[in-house]
Amino acid sequence: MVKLEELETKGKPNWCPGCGNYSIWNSLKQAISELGLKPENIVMTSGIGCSSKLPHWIKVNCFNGLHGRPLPLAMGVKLANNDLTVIADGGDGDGYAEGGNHFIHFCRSNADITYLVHDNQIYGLTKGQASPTSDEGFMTKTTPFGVIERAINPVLLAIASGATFVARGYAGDQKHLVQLMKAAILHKGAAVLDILQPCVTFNKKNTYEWYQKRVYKIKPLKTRISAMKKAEEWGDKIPIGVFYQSREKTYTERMPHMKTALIKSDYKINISKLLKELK
Amino acid sequence: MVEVVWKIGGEAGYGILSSGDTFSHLMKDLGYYVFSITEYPSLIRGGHNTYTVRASDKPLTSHTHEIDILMALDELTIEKHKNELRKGGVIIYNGVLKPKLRRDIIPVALPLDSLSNKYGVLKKVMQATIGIGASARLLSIKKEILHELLKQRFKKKGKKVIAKNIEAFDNGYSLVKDSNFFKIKASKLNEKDCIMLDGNTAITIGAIRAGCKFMSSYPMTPATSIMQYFSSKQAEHNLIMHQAEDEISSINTALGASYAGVRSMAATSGGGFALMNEALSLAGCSETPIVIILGQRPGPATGLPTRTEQGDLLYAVHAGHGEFQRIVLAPGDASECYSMTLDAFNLADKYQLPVIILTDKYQGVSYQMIKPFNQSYKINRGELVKKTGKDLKLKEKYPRYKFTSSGVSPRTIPGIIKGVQCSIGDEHDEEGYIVEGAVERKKMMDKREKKMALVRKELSNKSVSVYGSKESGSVIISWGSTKGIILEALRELNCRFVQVKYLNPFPVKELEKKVGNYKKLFLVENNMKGQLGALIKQNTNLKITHELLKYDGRQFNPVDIISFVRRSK
Ligand SMILES: Cc1ncc(C[n+]2csc(CCOP(=O)(O)OP(=O)(O)O)c2C)c(N)n1
Ligand SMILES: [Mg+2]
Repeated sequence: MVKLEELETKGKPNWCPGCGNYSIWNSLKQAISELGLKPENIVMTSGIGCSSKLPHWIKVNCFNGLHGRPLPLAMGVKLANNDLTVIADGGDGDGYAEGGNHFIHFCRSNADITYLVHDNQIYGLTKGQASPTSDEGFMTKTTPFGVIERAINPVLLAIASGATFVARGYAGDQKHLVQLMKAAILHKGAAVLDILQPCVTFNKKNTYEWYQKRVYKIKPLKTRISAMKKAEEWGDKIPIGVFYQSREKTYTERMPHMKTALIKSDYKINISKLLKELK
Repeated sequence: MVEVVWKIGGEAGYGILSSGDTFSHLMKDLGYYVFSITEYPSLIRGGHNTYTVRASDKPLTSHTHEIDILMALDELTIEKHKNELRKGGVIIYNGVLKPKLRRDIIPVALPLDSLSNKYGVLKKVMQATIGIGASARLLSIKKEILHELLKQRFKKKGKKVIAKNIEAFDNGYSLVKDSNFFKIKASKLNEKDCIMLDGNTAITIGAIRAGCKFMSSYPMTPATSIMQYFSSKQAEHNLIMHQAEDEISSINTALGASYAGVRSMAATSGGGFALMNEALSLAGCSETPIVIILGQRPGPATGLPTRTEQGDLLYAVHAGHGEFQRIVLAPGDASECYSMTLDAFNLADKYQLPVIILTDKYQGVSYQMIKPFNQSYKINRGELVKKTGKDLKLKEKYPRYKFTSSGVSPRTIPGIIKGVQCSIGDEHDEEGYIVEGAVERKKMMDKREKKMALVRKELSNKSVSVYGSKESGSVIISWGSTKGIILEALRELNCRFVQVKYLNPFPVKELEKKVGNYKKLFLVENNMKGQLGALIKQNTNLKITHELLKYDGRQFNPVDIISFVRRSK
C-alpha cells in the first residue's frame, strides 16, 4: 500500500462540480495505492482536454503533451525504460479523433502500457462540440442537425486492432472502476480502458441517469470473436467490465535483441567495428 | 594526378546500384580515393538510373561534370550521357544498338546479348559485370588483382556467385584490346585505412557514438537509410529503432524516450518534418532534448522524391508555432556529418532543446572516402540529475522548470526517488503546473530564451569555417552539401570560401568577421530563393553581390562555380 496522501499534490482539480473526472481521479489514486506502486516509478502521459489534466493532480511523473499524442509519448517512455509503469491518459476526442491512428497502432503493438480514456462523448475543454463517440443524432454546437456519422465503438476497435486487455468502466461505479484500473495496470501488454464519464456541463444527453439505467456488469469473454460480439451491444443496455484479456508477448518481449533496458545501457561505446566494416 | 570518372546507366532493376558499388570498392581497394553519386527516379522498375564513380590518387570532395568511361546498358543512357564524355572518352554499349556518336569519343560495342542470354533473369545484371570487365581492361588493371578483389567482395554470397561473376567479368575483359587511355595501376597510396561511406551512415555512426539509444521514424527518402542502418546495429549496440505509424508519432515517441532519460532522435525529409512541427514546438516548451535529422529533397509537396535540394533552411529555422529555442546545424561532408552529430546530442542535452541537423540527398547518399573518425568524445548530459538530494515534501513535485541564472533547469527522469516531476507543453510554473498569469508567462518565456545566450557563446568559434585564399577580395558563401563542390572549384579560383555550419542561432558577428574585407560576395545555394542569403540580409551588414542558385533537383558541378565566379564582373 502507498498512502493516498503520498499521491496528493499542491494543485487541486478544477473540473466542474459533479464531473465524472473526479471519480476517475479518485479511482486511479485508489488503484495505485492498493497496487503499492511507487510514485517515482509511474509515468503518466496525457494529451489535451479536461481529462488530460488529471496527471497534474496525482503525484507521479507526468508528461502532459499535445492533443492526441499521449500514446506515442507513452511508447517512448516504455521503450526507454521498461521498468516503469506507464499510463497514458486522455479524452475521447484526444484518443479517437486527433490520435486515432496512434490508437490503432498502439493496440497492435501490444506494448505494456495502460491507456485510460475518459469517454464523455463530447469535447469538454473546447466547450461542447461533437466527438467521435457522440451518439448518432446527438445535437452539439457543431452539429445543429445532429451528428450524422456513426459513433466509433472504442471497445470493438481496440479488440479488432489487437489490444490484449480491453475493458469499459463507468465513472458512476467507482468500486468497479478501481478493480478495472488495477487489472488494466497489472495486465502485461496493451490495455485499453474506456471509461464512461458523464460531462455535466456539455453533454445533457449521456447523463448519470442515462448511464445508470443502462450499464450492467459482464465477465471477460473467452474468445476475441465473442468479445467483439459483446462489444457490439450499445443502446438500452451497455455492458461494462473486461471484455477480453489474453497474455501475449509484449512489444519489448518480441524484440529478440533486447537484453538491457535502454536506460541501463553501457555507455562505453566503441565504434571500431562499425568503421572497420566501411574499409 | 591520375583520375578516372566511370558512369553506368540503365533501367532500375539492371543492377546499376550494385555494379556501381562493386566498381567503387574495386577502385578503393586498388588504393584510390573515390567519390560516388547515384541518380535515380522514384520508382522500382524501369526509369533511368545512373551510378557515377570518380576515382583519383588525390582526395576528392565532389563529383564532376565530365566522364571518361560510360557503360550504357540501354539506349537512353547513351542519348542522355554521351555528351558528358570528355574528348577521348570511351563508351561501352550493346552492339545491337547503332548510336550516333561524336567523332572524338571511342566506341566499344560488345555483343552483350549473346554473352548474357544464358543468365536468364540475371541477364541485365550480368551485362553490367561484363561492362566492369571491359572497363578494367581499358584501365589497364591486371586481371588477377581484380579476381582477388571480386572474390573478397562476393565472399558472403558463395562460390557459385563468385564463379559466375568472374566468368562474366573475364568475358568483358577479353573483348577489349589493351589500351593506353588510362593508366590505373594498383596504387601505392597509404590510405588503405580510409573508410568509404555516405553522409547518412556518418550521421548514424555519430548518433551511436554519442550514446543515442533510441530512434523513432517513418521511412522517407533520403533519410530512410539512417533508420535502416540504426536498425541493423540494434543488437550490437543495445538500441531500439521504432518504426512509427507516422511522423507525428515518431517525434512524440522520441520525445517520450528522451523524457525518460535516453538520448533519442528522429530522421525524416521535408514532408515528414512538416508533420513533426507541432511536437517540435512541444520540445521547445517542455525543454525536452531531441535531435531531428532533416534530409532535404526538392519540394514543394512530394516534389522530386529522389533528387537533391537545399530548400528547407528557412523552414528548419522557423518551423513550429510560437517562439521557442532551437539549434540548426548543417554539416558539409561525411566527416562533419559525424562530428556535428556528436555535437548535436551534447547541445540538445546541455540546453534542453531541439537540435535540427540539416542534410540532403546529395550528401546523404553519396559515397566519400575519408580518414576514419576520431572516436574520442565526451558525452555531456548537461543538468541531468540522477539523485535529487532534495527532500520532496508531501504534495511537492521536483521543480523541473526552476528559474536559474543560466535558464537551464536541472532535470530528473522517472524512476528517481524524490524526483517526481511534470513536463508539459502548456505554459507552466516551476513545478510544471499550468499557469496563465501575465507575469508568470513572461518570466518562463524569458527563462527559456536565456539559454540562447549560452548557446551563442558556446557556438561562437565553430559556427563558420573558412577555406582558400585569405587575401582575396572574392568570397563565396554557402552551407551544407555544396561544400565539397566549392572546395573542388577553389583549386582553380583565387577565392575565399566561407561555410556557415551553425545556422540558428545565426552567427552574425562571426560570419562578418570571417568574411572580412571583400569586393565580391558570391552566394551559392541549391535552392530558388537564396535562403541563406535571406538570413544574411536579415541579420548582418554583408551585401551579397552575386547569386548562383540552382533548383533543378541536381547538385552543382565544380565547373558551375568556377565559370560563375570567372564571368562575374
Ligand atoms: C492540435 C489541436 N487541435 C485542437 C485543439 C483544441 N482542443 C483542445 S481539447 C479538444 C477536445 C477535447 O475533447 P476530449 O479529448 O474529448 O477531452 P475532454 O475535454 O472532453 O476531456 C480540442 C479540440 C488542440 N489543443 N490542439
Ligand atoms: Mg471528451
